[in-house]
Amino acid sequence: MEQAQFEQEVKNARMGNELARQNIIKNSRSYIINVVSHVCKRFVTWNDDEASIGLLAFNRAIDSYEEGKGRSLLSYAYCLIRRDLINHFRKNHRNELSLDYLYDHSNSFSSDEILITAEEIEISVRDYLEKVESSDLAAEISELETILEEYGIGFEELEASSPKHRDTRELTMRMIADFLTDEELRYDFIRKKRFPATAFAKKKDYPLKTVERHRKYLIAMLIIKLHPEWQHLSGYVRID
Amino acid sequence: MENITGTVVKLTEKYIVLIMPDGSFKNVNRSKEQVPLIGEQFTFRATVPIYRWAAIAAAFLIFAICIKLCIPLLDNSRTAYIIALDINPSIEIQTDNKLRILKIDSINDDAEKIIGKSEYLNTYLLTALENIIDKCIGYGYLNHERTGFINVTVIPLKGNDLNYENTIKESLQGVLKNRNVEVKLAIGISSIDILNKAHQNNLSANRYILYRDLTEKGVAITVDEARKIPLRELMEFEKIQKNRTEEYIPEIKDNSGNKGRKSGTNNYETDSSKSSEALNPNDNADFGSSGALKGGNIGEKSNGISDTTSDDNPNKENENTDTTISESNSIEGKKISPESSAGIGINPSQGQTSNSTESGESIEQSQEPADKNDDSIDATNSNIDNRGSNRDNTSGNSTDSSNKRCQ
Repeated sequence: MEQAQFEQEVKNARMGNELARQNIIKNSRSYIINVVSHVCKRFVTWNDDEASIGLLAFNRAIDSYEEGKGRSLLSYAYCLIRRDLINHFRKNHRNELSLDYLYDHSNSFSSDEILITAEEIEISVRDYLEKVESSDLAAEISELETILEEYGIGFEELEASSPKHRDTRELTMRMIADFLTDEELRYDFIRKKRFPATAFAKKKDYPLKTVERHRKYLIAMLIIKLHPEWQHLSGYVRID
Repeated sequence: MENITGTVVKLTEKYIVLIMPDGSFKNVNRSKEQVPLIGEQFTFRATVPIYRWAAIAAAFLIFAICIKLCIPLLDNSRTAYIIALDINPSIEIQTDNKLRILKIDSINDDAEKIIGKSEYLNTYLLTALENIIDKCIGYGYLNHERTGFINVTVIPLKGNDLNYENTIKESLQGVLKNRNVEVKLAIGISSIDILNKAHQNNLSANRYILYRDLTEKGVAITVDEARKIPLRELMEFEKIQKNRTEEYIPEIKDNSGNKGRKSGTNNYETDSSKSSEALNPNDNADFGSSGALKGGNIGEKSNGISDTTSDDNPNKENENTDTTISESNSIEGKKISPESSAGIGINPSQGQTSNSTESGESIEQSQEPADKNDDSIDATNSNIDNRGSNRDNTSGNSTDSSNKRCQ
């Protein structure tokens, strides 16, 4: 999704377009759960309370997000999720570890000063921005993950079908280039949400076995290639 | 192992999924504390995949097997000397260049008893030899009553030319002297080729060398005999074989001639007063051979001789026959057949007759046996008196009388 298109979508959601809101949340689900896990310093699933807090915080971020302030929705949502989770820990005093963690990072602050100020959030955001090359990359990744799910593929499955050697990698890149040149194959791929392996192997004269072996990887790469707006991810698919 | 950096695309309970700069995906094992953000750069240390560990393990296994197989070869390469020891137990000892025992093998069953538990490994050769000698004495292979045999062959391997045979010899001699055991010790140097040939024939090196020497001398011996017969007999195989040949092939004149000469000489020592004619060794030899060894033919020959000598010079004949008597009595003794004893029987009486005619002292000496059988003396004397007139009777009578004496 292009930046302008995305901003429009956020605006629509804020205006009360529930479909647009759902679409934004759906695309950002993996990001939300990841931020919650990161703040909690443990792997969190959608069954945990923290995930709900994170989701609510993200929903609130859509409402309070202002375009043109130099930050993306995801980076803004990160700050809100983190703050809400800290407040949650403070209220419940359940997770000692999480509180300890917060104390460690607040260093000289007394117990009265535990409340995270807006200034502190700014510092955290800066740290985050420094840490992550761009939150846009995270958005692209989240979006890619959502599309891959439509093809029935998870990121963790891609390692097995990834090419291990340089020559195989070059071969897969040639396959992607050949695939994209064929309109019929492209149409089948986008429309039917499946990779026409047999037709592709026959048409482009590639060994079906090799195509099948790298099918999931080819799908991931084709999706990235079909989304040139993903500037960061496009860098990972270099067809010479 | 190197550090690899990728971009986090997903976090699962077990893995952190990364997209690598080359576009491939990588699942990295996640520890509980590792919760990176999506889009964050994540650096991990690349571990060797399991199949590589398997390959390394397989290579190590092959290497271990090779080492295991090569250990005997390595041991052999350290071996500097092989010492083959034959007492009756046949033992082969491999030592390094400082005579420390690396391997000890028993070649026969007797040796199994001696070195059964391989307690000699890493001990020094001379100490082990002393121990082996003690055990051999204990088991009775060597004893104080009869002379034993010890054959030692030192086989220096390539590049080891220190002469240890004298050291071994002196050590063994010292040990044997202390134990008061009389042993014929033979020590020599040989080559690995001989040892290999010995092994090919399933013999110990010493036995093979003895076997080879015997074969070269033309002695009929089989490998099986060389393997089985005791060392003592093998050492004296040639002599034994010779004696056997003498027993079964009496026509070998050289041996009988020697014996005749030997006995004749003995007789000369006792009858030193006799004339030079009477001491003719050739005549004596002839008589000796005919009398002592030729058995059945003796009667005829001696008769013939008696005939000729009685014609020419009765005294000479008597003297000659005298030598024959003593020869036959002293050497062949009990082995003589009845026929030969008949032939010999002629002569004692004649000898005594001649002695009695030549000198009083001699008579006294020679009369001693004559006194034991006075009848026979009388008989022979009467025969001599009658010989000139009746030769046939003489021979016949003398034979009878001599038979009587022998009896």
